Amino acid sequence: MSERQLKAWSQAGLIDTQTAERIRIWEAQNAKPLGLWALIGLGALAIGLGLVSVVAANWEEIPGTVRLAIHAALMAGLGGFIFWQRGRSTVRNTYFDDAALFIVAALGLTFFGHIGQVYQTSSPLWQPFLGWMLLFTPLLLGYGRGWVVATMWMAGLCFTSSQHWDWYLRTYYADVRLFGSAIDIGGNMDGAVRTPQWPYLYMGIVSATPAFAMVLAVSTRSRSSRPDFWRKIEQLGLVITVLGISGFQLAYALGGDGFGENVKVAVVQAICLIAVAAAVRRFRPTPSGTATAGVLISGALMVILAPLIGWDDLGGGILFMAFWGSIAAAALYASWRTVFQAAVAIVAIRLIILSFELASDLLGSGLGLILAGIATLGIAWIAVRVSKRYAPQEEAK
Amino acid sequence: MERKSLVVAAALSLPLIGLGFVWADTHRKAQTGTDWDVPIRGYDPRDLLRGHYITYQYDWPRLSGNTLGYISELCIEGKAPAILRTTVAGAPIVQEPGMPPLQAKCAVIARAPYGGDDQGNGLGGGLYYVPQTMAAEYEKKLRDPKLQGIIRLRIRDDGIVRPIGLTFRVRPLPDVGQGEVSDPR
Repeated sequence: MSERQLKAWSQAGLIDTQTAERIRIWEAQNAKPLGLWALIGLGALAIGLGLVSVVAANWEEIPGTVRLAIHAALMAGLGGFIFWQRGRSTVRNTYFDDAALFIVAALGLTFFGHIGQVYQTSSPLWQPFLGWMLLFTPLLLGYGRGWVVATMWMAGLCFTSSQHWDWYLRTYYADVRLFGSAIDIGGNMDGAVRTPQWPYLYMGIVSATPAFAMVLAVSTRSRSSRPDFWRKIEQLGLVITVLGISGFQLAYALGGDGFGENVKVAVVQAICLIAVAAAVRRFRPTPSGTATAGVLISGALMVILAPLIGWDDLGGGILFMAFWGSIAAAALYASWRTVFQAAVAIVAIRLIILSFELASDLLGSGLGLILAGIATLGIAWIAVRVSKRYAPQEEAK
Repeated sequence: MERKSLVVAAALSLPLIGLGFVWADTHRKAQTGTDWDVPIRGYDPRDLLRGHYITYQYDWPRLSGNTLGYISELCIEGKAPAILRTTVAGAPIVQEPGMPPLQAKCAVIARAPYGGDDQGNGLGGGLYYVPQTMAAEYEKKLRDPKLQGIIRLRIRDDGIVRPIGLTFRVRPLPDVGQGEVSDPR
């Protein structure tokens, strides 16, 4: 709200001077210093990046143990500061607290890399990340408040599990044909290949990692003094799950060959998603909770159907649009305005791509191009109409 | 201290104690093991986010066994730091003419971390962190066909290897490469 607008309105007689004054006072008390927060965020990011590059510079003038000691002292100092200032600030400033947690956690992560550099050790990447998760999860989840910490923790979780997955495939599937192509690291493992008993169980469960974080979030949210933070974790979990499923569908559509083995992984992943949906519905029996569970169940169906139906232009396209259509329906039910509009836009874009795919044989003749163009215009027009007319009013999620 | 403060203090201390333990453990293990010299080939990709390092391939002296692809275990013969002969674990050791008779006993067995390091390397290669100021010089020397890079490896008793130094020596002419015994120096 700008002072200029207030003046203009009161001069135009839209509001009287008392109202204008009351608005000023209310604004002064409730203003969110967005600019300040942006600066704090920028500052935290700069410090984080600076730490990384200081470690990367590998100064030989300073002995490694001294560098590590300085690094550890910085962490301890910042930890002491967080402890000292807790509860002290009169106005609880979410982003300042989060920035301090972010920096201390970033220092912790770079410390692993720093040790590796000083002692010239190397290990699979999931190991330091898992160590970091174990050591910092109580701090991040116990005291985080905003997007900064929520995103950092979710990113850590997903990166750790994907790195472990990658290592697992390298290690256990040295000579197994998977995903239609050989992941071959040579046949020289000297009997070291330990064939796991339940590989599909592992892969299905790891695929559902971000969804499991949602269970933690919904079950803790009602008991926590920071329900907003847990809502962010839940939202991130849902977004990552949905994007992951969509990404797989696109990958299918872009041309993979049939691999029946994958159905087993898909079934395990689908069971996990359904279990998460049940948990979300149980802890949050609101329209929003029901819609979230609905999206997860729809995702579970997609995961199973994608490898079964096949992924030619039409099948893959329809599946993808059905998935996002169900998300739009869930958004309509729970009054998620932005999500509804985004889902409609994604369906429209996929439909346009599909029209070009289907017309590809005709494209050479020019007729196909004209048809695809007409379809594009029509779809865009309908999407904008639907998005404006049927989008629900925003409500609290 | 009230209970809430204790919980905060615990959450803040856990990472510090944990990282301290990781450091102490790494430091302790770094002191053990024997040092060996291994010729290498390599280059410097200058990864800014992870620090400057050289990735390289080992030219294990007199290597025998199945050397294609991933090497997870290697029997090393010789007297540190000079390697006489290396054999991929499990492969039969071949007696070559002109070589001292085989004891069929490894001085040490080098082992790759299970599943390889984060580069997916077994014992075929590795990476060596170098100071920023030295990176360009090392890169130039590694490209010089007249010079042979030598990595000094410390092999822990449990077989885990880590590079602790990089030196260069003039390559004998003509380049005999893999076949020669490493210079003890």
